[in-house]
Parts: sequence; C-alpha cells; structure tokens
Amino acid sequence: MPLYRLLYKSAFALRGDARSVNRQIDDIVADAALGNLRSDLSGAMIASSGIFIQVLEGPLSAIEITFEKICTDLRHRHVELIELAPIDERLFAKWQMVRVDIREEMLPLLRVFDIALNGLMDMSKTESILELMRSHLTTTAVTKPPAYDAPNEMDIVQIR
Amino acid sequence: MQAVYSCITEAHDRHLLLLAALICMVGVYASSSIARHAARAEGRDRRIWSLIAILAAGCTAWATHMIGLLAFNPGMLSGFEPLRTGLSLALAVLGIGLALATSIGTRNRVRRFFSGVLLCASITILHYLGQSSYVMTARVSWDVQLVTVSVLAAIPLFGAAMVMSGERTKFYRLAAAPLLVTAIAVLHFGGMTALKVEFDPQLALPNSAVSPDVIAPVVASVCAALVLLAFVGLRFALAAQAQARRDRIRLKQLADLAVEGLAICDGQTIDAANDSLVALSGYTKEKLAGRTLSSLLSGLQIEDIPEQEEQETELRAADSRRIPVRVLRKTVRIGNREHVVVAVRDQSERLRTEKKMERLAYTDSLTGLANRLRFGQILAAACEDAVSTNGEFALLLLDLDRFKSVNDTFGHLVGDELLKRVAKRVSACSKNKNALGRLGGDEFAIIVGNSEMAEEVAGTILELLSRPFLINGLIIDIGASIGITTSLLDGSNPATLSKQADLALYAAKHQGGSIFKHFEPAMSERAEARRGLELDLRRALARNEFEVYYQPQVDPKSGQFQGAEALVRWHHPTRGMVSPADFIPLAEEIGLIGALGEWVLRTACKEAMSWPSDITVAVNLSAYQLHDSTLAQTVSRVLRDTGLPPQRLELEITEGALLQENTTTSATLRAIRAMGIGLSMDDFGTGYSSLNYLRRFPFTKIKIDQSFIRQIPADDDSVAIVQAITSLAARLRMAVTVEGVETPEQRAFTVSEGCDQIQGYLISRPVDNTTIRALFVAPKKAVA
Repeated sequence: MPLYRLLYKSAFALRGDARSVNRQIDDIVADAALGNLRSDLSGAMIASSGIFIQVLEGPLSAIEITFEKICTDLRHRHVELIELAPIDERLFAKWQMVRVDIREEMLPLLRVFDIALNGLMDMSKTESILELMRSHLTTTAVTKPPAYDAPNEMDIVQIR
Repeated sequence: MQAVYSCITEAHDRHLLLLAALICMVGVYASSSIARHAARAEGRDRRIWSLIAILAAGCTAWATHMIGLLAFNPGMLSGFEPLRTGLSLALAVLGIGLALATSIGTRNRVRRFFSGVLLCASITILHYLGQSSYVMTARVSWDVQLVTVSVLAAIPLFGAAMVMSGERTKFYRLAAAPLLVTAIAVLHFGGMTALKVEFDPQLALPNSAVSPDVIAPVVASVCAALVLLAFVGLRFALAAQAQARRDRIRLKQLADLAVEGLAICDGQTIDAANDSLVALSGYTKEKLAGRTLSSLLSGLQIEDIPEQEEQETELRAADSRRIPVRVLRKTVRIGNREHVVVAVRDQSERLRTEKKMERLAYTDSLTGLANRLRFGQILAAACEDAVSTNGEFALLLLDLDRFKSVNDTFGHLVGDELLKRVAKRVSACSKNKNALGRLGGDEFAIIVGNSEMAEEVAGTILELLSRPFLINGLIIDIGASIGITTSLLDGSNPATLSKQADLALYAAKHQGGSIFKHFEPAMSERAEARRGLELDLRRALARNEFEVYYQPQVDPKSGQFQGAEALVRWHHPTRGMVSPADFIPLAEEIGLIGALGEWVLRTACKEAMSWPSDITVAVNLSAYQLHDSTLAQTVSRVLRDTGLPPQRLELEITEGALLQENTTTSATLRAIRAMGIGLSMDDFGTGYSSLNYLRRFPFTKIKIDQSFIRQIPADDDSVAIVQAITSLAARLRMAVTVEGVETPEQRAFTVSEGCDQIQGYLISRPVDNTTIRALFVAPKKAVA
C-alpha cells in the first residue's frame, strides 16, 4: 500500500492555564498515539506558542479519516494543510505520535513555518523542517515505547 | 310388585327374556348408528338411511315384543293371529317413525318429551295389539288398573329417555338407553302382569292362528337383519370416527401452517394452540393448553374480542415481554362441535416497519440528518414554542460555496462523500443534534438558542468548513455562506423565517461567500424590488421597451468614423432609463439573456444597414450566448435576414465569458471567424488577462479596458500597461481599441502609441440610431 505524508498547522483552542493546556495537549497526543496504532499511522507533533504542527504518515485512507477527525475537532482553529504527498518511507516510523518539545533554539523552525503558512515555502523547505523534527527526536529523545496495555498511564515521549 | 316379579321369573323363559333384552340393545344401537350416519349423509342417501333407521327402530320394538311373547309360557296351546301380528309391526314402525321424526334435529326439550309420549303410545299400541294377536286356549282378562298404572309410569320414562338422548352432555346421553329399556320393560311386564289367563280347554285356537314355531323363525330373521344392520352401523360409526380424527389432524396441520397464532378455546381457557402462538408467546403447547386466554392477552375476555374487526392488545409472553398484537375471534365447527378460535397476529414487525418507514420519510438518507419535511416540523414546533413562551431562537441557513463545481469536476460520489462530511462537521458545531437538517442539495439548516449563539455557531461552522476535505487523495477546498434570522422579528411564522434566512443567505453569497449575514428588512425590500424588476424585464421585450444605443469608434489620428459599439438601453415605463448594469445580470440570472442578446444583434445589424457601408458595428456576446452551440447559426441567420456583410460585424467577448468555456466554445468562435466576422477581446487587462486566450481563440482585436486610459497620462504603470498591450497586439497582428478616452491628452497618447481605434466621451456618448446615423452621414465624417 502506498504511503502518504500529511503536514498541517493549526492554532489551539484549549482553555485553562499553561499547566492545564499542557496536560490537555499530552492527552491529545496520547489519544492520537492510540488511534494511530490501530490505523497504522505514525507521526510527530509540535505544540508550542499556541500552534500545533503535526505530521502524519501512513496509508492514504487512514490519513484521510484521521485528518477528517481533526477537521471536526473544535480544539483546533484555523486548520491549514501544508502538504499531502506520497512518500517512499516513513520518517517517524518509531512513533505512533510523539510530541517534539520546542525550546528556545527551535523557534527559528517555527518562523520557517510561518513562512510556509504564507504559502511561500517550497517543497525542499518542507523536507528540511521534517528532517529537523526527526533529527531532534533521534538525537535528544529518550524514547520509550508507550504502554498501550494501560492507556491511562500512557506516558507520552517527551523530549526535554 | 310381587305379581310383576313372579310374572317375569315364573311365567317367562329366562333365556328368551335375555335374548329379548339383547335384541333390544342391538336394535337400538343399529337404528341409532344408522340414524347418525343418515345425519352425516346428504340428499338421497340421507332419506334412504333415515328410512332404514326408522324401520330398524320399529323392528327392534316389534322383535323385542315378539321374543317377549315367545318367552311367555302360559302352559297351554297358543298361537299368533297373523293379521294383527303384521298390523302390530306396521303400527310399531309407523308410530316410532313418527316419534323419531318429531324429535330429529331438535334440542327443544318439550318437543323431545312429546316425541317420547308418541313413542310410548306407539309401543303401547304395539304391545296390546301384539297381545291381542297372541291367542291361547284360555279366557283372557285384564287388570285395567295395573295396565293404566304401567302406561302412566312409562310415559315420563319415555319422555325422559327422549329428552336425555337430545342433551349435549355425554353423561346424560348415556342415560337415555337404560331409561328407554326400563320404560319398555315397565310397559311390557306391567301389561303381562295385568293379564289374567284362565285355562279353558273348551276353547279352540282360531283356524288362522299360527303356531309360535312358525312365528319364531320370522322373528329370528328380523333379529338377524337387525344384527346385520348393527354391524353396518358400527362400520359407519368407525368410519366416521376415523374421518373425524383425520379432520382433526388436518386442522391441526393447517393451524400449524398458519402464520398467525391460533388458540382454540373452550370457554375462557385455551384448549389447543398452534406452533405460531407457541413461537410468539414462548410457552410450550402443553403450557398454553389450560391457560386462560385473559392471562395471555392482558386481561382481555373472550367475549370482548370482536368477530369482525381486529382489536389491538398486548400479549404477555413467557419472558414477560409485552408484544403488540391484533386479535380476532371466530367460531368454527370442528367435527360436530363448535369451538371458538382466537387468531393472534404479531404486530411488532409491522410497528417496526412503520417506525422505520417513518424514520426514512423524515431522514435524509445520505447524511442521516433530518430532511426538509422533518426540519419543517422542527421549525414549526420551535415557532410555536417561541410564541407560547415569549422565547427566542435563531434560524441559520447554510449553503456550500462551489459545491456544484466539486460535483461537476469530481463526480457525484465525491460530492456525496463531501456532503456527508459537511454534515458531520456541522453537527460538531451544533449542541442540539435534533435542530439540524439537510434541506436538499448542499443546503443545511440549523436552529440555535438565540441570535448571539447563532453568530458563534455560524462562525465555528464557517471555520470548520473552510478546512480542507481530503477525499480519495483529492484536496477539496470549499466554503459556506450562512444566512441568519431570529424569531424575534417574526417568530410566529416558519415560512417568513425561512424566507428571511434565505434572503440573508443570498446576501452572504452575493458578497462572495464564506461569511454569514443577518437578515435585515432592507433585504426584503431589495428582493421585492428585484422581483418587480424581474417581472417587468420579462415583459420588456414584448413591449418593445429596449432600444439599441451606439457609441462611435474613430481613428484617433484622423478622427475618421470607423464603427460603433451597440449598447442596449431599457426605457422602463415608470422607472425611466434602467442601467444595463442593473438589468443585464438579472437577465442572465432569469435566462432572458439569450433572447435579449439575439434581439440586440438583429437590431444592430438591421440599423447598421442604414449607415455608410464602411462603418462596422460591434455587438457584445454574453457568456450564455457563447455557450449556446447554435450561436454560429444564429449569427449567420441574422446576417442573411438583415443583409449586413459579415465584414461589417464585430462580436465582443469578455474574458469572464471565456472563463466558463465548454467544449463547443472554440469551434463556435472559429466558425464565426470563418464567416469573416471580427472578434474582439473586450475589457482586456481587468480579469485574468490570460494571454493563452489570445492564442487559442481567433481574436482580431483587443479592447483595452477604460480603467487604464483614465489614469493616463498621470500614472506611469497604466502607461506601461497600455504600451505593452499595444505592442503585444501589433506582434499578434491584432487591432487595438482604447475605451474610455475622455480628454484630448488621452487621445494624443493613443496616437503616439499607435493605437488603431478609440472610443469614449471625447468622441461621443452612446446615442440612438438616428443621432449616430446623422453623425456618420454628415459631410464631415470625422471628429477633429
């Protein structure tokens, strides 16, 4: 089955203080990881400065179903599709869904995305953003597989 | 009593007496079984068997009597007087036949008792006539008192026997035979005891007397015949029993075949039930038999069940479920007994189907939302509610932008999938899922609490629908427009509300879509005005209210008239001159543009014929005309009809019209060009200014939009654009016309740029045919 990758950006519409928002995002990532395991999707997400940037990889039909759910989700605002393209292999095969923690040094990445969202980003830049996210995960992540047997205790891979 | 006893024991041969009793019993059985067979038979058979039964009954009585007489042993010579013996037999048959005839087929007890009395009389006659036929060498005298007593005693016994034999209960019927035998015995032995015989050897038997030895074989053969008849009767009875058994089995099989539950009742209790009722109730057949019907049918008594129309009730099943059923009662004969059969029809499937049908009728099958019909009810209920509680609600009407093009481009399957997803996204925004409907096509409606909430919901919906739809690898971007109205304006009327929301939606669409608009009363007025204008416009052609005006086109250098552009004007009888900007879009919308366009073309060609022969006429083509595959023929016909040479006609087409090109557009334009007609690209520079169009279609002229010349010579960019287009046209060997030239400076600029033609107020505003002809034919054919 041919693989596809989808990249989108949206704004949070989450209520509560920073802590609560952070927890809600963790819940979203946990739910996503569980759902993605079932539908053979992998991916990663940046959630920072009020913005989600999410990558989804997998079969087209699963991507379409998942993205439609996101588009029906009122926790997102201004959902914008950045890329939907066939791929040869997964970049985030290790992760059903993982949160890439953005720190100060990652902010340039967001800025690049802002350019992307103005419609001026070309394909080579999309690729480089994804590569950046991935290398950040692989070099700094202390990855541990999520405990899918006990979803309540599911710990999302957080990179700090 | 002692006398009677001694009469039986001493004066009679006991064996013969026993035989008499036996023959009596056999005979009674034979006659009654034959009679029952006669009752079952029909027509001639019935009459013959009835006769035989009566004959058998008479013979039985007679034979019993005769054996009784033969058993009498007076100890002297005795004989039978044949005539009276025969007469006694005939009278016995007649009397018994009469008695049976009065009793047959009636259960009336008085009548049956009367027939018993008749029977008693006939047997009494038989006895005493028979007695008188028995002659002895003795003097015979009678104890009249005893005779009377015995006859009087026998009457009620006979009556009772007949009454009993006609009873319904078997127990009573069984009592009939012993009663009859007793009655006969009372009569017989009473009579015999009352007989006083004094031996007198002086007396001789009459010559005609027949010896008992001769009579005995006669009686015996009658008896044999009776025995034979009894066997025949037995056979009949057995056959009838077998038939009844077969009938019962067949009935049971039939009942089990029935889809309806059937309960055969005896009084209030169920006697038997069929398989369907077993399946329906969950009770076994054994458990059903013996239950009262009312325990099964929630207290319904059997008398309450109608015989004609079905009655709705509930059946309490074994698992205490209540199953909706309809019941009907019918009385049927099974064998020769009447039974009440109650038919129980399961209604749960029908009710389920009805519910499903209702759901189907009220649901949009594609999205699962309420359909137009159902939403109409929801809206009406909301209106009623708002009126009664003085409350408020808002109605949102939503229509997708660009849905038609999705359907046309990607097909209906994708269109349907899109609608499903739209329904889901809209549902996600609406708290009350029951206040949401798809009215048809890509139109949805939502009811929300109030105006403020409506804005919030509308905003959310617009946001959700602006998100892309990924369908089968396609990325589809649509949007939606929403019209909002509130019940505060006119909550009592669903129709008004719908119209208001519709107008607001129309306004939102008109502003480019992807927005929501609240209804404003001005919208109604505008719509009203538009409707008025529409009506007038439809009549305007017939009333000749249109006129073609012409704006001259000249050579900027020489000022020579070269041609004129035809422009339509509408002289409205009350509104005066209506601007083309107002009525042309309306004419396009209501499909009047085709007829109007052809009228303008024909009029312009006709009027151009009165102009000098070197002057051309330019006529605008609408998108609608361009898509009409018969356009080339129409133009050709108009030229032929009016006689205008094709070289003098120019057709102007805007880019906008070409945007919606279809497969025939290119062929149409080539055909027109092939006739020698000129083609102008109108308003160039304002739209997409696609150079591709210039290449693909055989244009002969580019008309630069007046917005550029207006800024000339002040605006450098405009200057550059006009210069660029002019040189482009020159390279493509197309002429250039500059529109909207209003000042001598602008004209000078066009001269310097080498433009071929100018048009504008500097030369002339559009004027009627008379005026422009005057201009053209004036001695000085130029504007300096």
